[in-house]
Amino acid sequence: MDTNDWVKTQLEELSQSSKQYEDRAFYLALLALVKEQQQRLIQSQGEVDGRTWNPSKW
Amino acid sequence: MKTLIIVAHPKLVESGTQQFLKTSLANMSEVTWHVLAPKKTHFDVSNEQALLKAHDRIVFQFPLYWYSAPAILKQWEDEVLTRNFVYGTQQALAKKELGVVVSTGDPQRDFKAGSSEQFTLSELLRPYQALANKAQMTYLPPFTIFQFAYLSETEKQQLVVNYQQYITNTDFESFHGRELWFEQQLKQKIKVNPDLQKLPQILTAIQDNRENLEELGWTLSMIKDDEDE
Repeated sequence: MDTNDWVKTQLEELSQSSKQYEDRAFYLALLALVKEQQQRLIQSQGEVDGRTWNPSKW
Repeated sequence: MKTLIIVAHPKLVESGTQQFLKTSLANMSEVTWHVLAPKKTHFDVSNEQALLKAHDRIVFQFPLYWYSAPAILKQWEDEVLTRNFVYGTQQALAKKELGVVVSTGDPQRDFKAGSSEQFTLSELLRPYQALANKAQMTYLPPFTIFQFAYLSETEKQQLVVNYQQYITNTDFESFHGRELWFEQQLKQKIKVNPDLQKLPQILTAIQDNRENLEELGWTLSMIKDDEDE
């Protein structure tokens, strides 16, 4: 299992099992943050690849 | 960073929204919840000014009454924000931040040109922006809560964390600032719950993600600089 997938599973669990309401809200928001981090990592890596592949600079 | 929340609500005890917001901050440090009591005839000006001086982010929090704040906030402004204190010799509020937390029973879609309310909340709240300008404060984007009673459970949970950040995150506007805030909060939770062994692992993963994103950002800006030449 990929580290981020493991983190997401743990956060989903914590967002349901934590006793305090604010804690459940926190872990749910943290889960959304990790998903956005992953999305941004994919997009940024894609942009680096795309810009590096620049035939006009060959 | 110390935050002062100035709560202006004539029926505070009956307000589910205000109670919810107060509870959201239960575990937050360096936050002062300051209620403007409706029975007072006059405010203790030096007390109120000392409170303002002791904080870095000042937040006016109120329900929208006729496109403005309840009268008690205006009374407080008129009495406490004296000329010298704000823009005369003292300029005591300069370099601080001013935020507004406003709730309304009308839906967000109504607050735009051509819709039933015609104006956005940013437009309606201009006097606070002008005040911030006069006081040489940084005006923060208003934090708006529309139809609290109709929010879903998930939306309420999002509101908790968004509100916490509006109050305590020095840089809640940028993704990077939010990442750092979450890391800080998680470190607090690790201190309080040393038995939850997965928390440090989660923290490490989030920090790694942030650092990788930073590196990719630097690489991209170098490539873009190169393309410009």
